[in-house]
Amino acid sequence: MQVKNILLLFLAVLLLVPVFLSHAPYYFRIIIMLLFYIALSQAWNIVGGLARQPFIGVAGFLGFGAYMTILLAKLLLLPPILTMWIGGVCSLALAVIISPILKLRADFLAIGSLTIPGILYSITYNSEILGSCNGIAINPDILYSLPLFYYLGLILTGVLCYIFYRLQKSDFGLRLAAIGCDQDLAEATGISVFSAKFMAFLLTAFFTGILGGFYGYLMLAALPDDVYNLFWGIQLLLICVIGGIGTVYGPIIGGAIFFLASHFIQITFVELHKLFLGIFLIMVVVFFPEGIIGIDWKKIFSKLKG
Amino acid sequence: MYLLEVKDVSKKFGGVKALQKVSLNVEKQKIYGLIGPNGAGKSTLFKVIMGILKPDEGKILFKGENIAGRPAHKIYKMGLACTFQLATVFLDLSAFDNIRLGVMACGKDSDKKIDERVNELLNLVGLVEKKNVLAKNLTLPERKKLDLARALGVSPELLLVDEIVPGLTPTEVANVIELIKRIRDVYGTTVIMVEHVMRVVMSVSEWIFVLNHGEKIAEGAPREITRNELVVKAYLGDKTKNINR
Repeated sequence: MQVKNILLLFLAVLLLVPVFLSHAPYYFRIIIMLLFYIALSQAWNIVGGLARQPFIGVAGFLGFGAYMTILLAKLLLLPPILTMWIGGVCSLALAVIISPILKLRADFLAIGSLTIPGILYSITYNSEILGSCNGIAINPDILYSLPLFYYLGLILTGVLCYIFYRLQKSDFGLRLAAIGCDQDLAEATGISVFSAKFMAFLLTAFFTGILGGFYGYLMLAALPDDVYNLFWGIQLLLICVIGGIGTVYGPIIGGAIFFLASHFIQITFVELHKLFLGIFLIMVVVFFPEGIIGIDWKKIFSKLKG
Repeated sequence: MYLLEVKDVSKKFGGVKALQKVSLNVEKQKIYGLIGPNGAGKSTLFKVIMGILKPDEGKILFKGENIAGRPAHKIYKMGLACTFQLATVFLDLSAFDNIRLGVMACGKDSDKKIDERVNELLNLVGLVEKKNVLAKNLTLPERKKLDLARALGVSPELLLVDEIVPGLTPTEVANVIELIKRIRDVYGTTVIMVEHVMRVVMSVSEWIFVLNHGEKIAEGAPREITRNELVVKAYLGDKTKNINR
């Protein structure tokens, strides 16, 4: 009963956040971005955490989703809140087309996947119709309210966490975990490895596309240097690793830590924030490669006790 | 009809002829040994049979069907399983889940039936108390047993065992041998074992194939093989002319 009450209280607080932050748009946007990062990391967690396929080029789907969302909004004169779902479907189609890349392994997949946002960036940058380096913008007269973004973000985060949770417990999730451990052994144990990777890949691409649309809507624009930035994939990888890769709480904990840390660094070291962020990331990778769950808390506590 | 027929299978890696027109026939419910010096092509032959490698030429008939070049996961589902050197298991998964993956490959069974089968296999290899332990936390002998249980998930008619003995104490070796015999007797599975430890191969095999330099140089009952000149030469080199036999 106690736990249930605490959860209900937590849920109530979550739902009432817009009320508390209605006069603090700066912090409101931070919370919305935090939800966005958690949802995006959870989507990546499917192919990157569960199946352990280091597809770092996820910015390809993010950007493609963002661009398609805005383009369709302008062409079909529909609100972005509707076209973002079509943006997701477009990213899904893109994923199907580039799916052969999944035959690459480990490092080769990691580097190879970066070609996707790279190519899309080049195409976009060099095409007038797509706004080239200035990107494309949404007419700001449309419906734009932070509470809307907050609840939409909350729903997307909730849905993705739920999907991941169910996936992890399913037979399909077990097969993905097996592939993540040892791809060849999985194949020899009757798992059609390519099919499984393909399905996970589609799921990640679809939701990343939708979130790309969300991002484009939130920013009222899609710029190639932003949405096709290769750093997205590295951020998501780090968030998942910090929080616990392949777990449902990993993106949540990792997202909170990473987001807060990078914000703190940005505020404190305005000029050199990228340098300190880089140092922070290196320290995490070197000292905490398994993230929060890899830390031997018992050892630390016993050392502190003396 | 033979359970497995390997017909003139060859495999090259660049300039290296790993397998040269290897042929052998395997009957049901027997234990076979596959021996030969290092580099003879034993593991390559296994990988080709299993579907991890494609042969350059030749046929591999399993239960009458040619499986050469078929993907490994389909071959496993047909009932041809294998365990690997150094006990490959899914390290981050529990013993239960490891075996469950093997059983799941059968397809449509209900969750309850799958769980029953997993428990049955855990019992067979003696890992019931460790069923929730992560594979990476199991000892090497335990992992080898887990590897066997995982392979048996699909109730295979043919089981390829690639060097299961290294790293085990004599008692553990005896346990594994008993287990393999039980697999043959209770499940009717044919086992082909690649092994370097001669006394193990000789004591448990009913028939032995000998490979050297990618070719099958001899086959026969264990007694005949130990007396076969070619086999002795392959292992000990040419200067065995003066050894009394």
